[in-house]
Amino acid sequence: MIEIKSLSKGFDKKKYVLENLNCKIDDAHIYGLVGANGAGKSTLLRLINSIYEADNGEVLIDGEPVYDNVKLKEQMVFVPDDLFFYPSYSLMDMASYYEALYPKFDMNYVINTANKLKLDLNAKIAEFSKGMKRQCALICALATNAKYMFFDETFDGLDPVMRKFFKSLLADSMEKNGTTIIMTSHNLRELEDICDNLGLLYKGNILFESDIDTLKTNMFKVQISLKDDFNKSTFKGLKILSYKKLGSIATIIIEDDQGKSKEYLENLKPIILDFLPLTLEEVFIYQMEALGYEFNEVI
Amino acid sequence: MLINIDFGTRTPIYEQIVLEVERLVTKEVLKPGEQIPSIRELALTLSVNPNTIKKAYDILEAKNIIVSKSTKGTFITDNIKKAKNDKIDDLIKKINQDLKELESLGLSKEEIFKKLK
Repeated sequence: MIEIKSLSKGFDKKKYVLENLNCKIDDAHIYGLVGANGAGKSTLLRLINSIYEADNGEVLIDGEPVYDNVKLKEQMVFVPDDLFFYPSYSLMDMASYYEALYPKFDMNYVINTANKLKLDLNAKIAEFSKGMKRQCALICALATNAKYMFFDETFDGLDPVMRKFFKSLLADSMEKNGTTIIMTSHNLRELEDICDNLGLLYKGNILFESDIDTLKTNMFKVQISLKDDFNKSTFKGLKILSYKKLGSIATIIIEDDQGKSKEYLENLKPIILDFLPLTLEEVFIYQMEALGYEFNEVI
Repeated sequence: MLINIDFGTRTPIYEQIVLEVERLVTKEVLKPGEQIPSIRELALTLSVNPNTIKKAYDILEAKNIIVSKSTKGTFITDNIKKAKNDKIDDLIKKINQDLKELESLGLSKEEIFKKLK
């Protein structure tokens, strides 16, 4: 389990990028991290991987502090947003380098996967395209068989076929090793498909987190019209995130059990009652609104 | 076992898998006693988080539609009668909801039945 305890990090004295952040990530789960540019996603991943030292607080994995912990680092692999390869290295060289660092490294995995993807093992990585470089980095990371993997916008440079392929490889790794993964992306749709949990990072803290299925089902938009005049207090039995009434029709965002809400609303004998699903983007907008933030400055 | 996931809808992926297996079982495309893919196999084919498949399989097992025999794999149960009855109950419930809506438009039950083929 990854535990983050009152973690703070700043790059100049006045302002913290992360401030007093707390979070727990269960084993064998994929945790998706979303947030605006500069929200602190990459900083958080770099802190977890001891690339930065925290100003305050700590990150624990399996109960042990991670900072400069050699034993734990053998269990952790990080694919950053900006990849780095030694200038003259081939994928084979890169794999050998990783093999020296990770005791459970599987060289056959690299060879087999590279062959499947028709990646030349002995060509210079520097001459590869952006997407191919990403593929190399991902293959090496997955071949480490590390228990904890961290991906910073890793899928963003891959084409749809490759995305699907690497999602299957992630699934394989989770089944094989019970891998725990933290990944960031700006593609909410994609995170939604593979993550167990999502956390929204805003101004240095996790504002809101939830498991994906609850996000998908426990928040919805309702259009309703009643025979008699009504206002927001008519629906006080439900947890309402947003309420807008135009003429005789109200649009309400409800965060509650759908079955229960449906029963409640039907008892009001509505003339119109429509349940509309929300996209993940909308879920975040309304959550932010409910917390008093404007959407435009967030995602 | 062929399952198509619609990544565009708001129905959670695990729920789509449950519904699809139920459908295939009640239509006897998946026969009693037939083996279905392991969590790993299905996760890899669908490129879906294995935890999602596990959630779906747990629900299907609780509903007595599948059984997992520890080393041999996962199978459709021998008795799918209950799955069928549940499906019938679901459909009746849906029809009742539509009936209610038709009645709210001012039709009597007799009028509705007359219009039905």
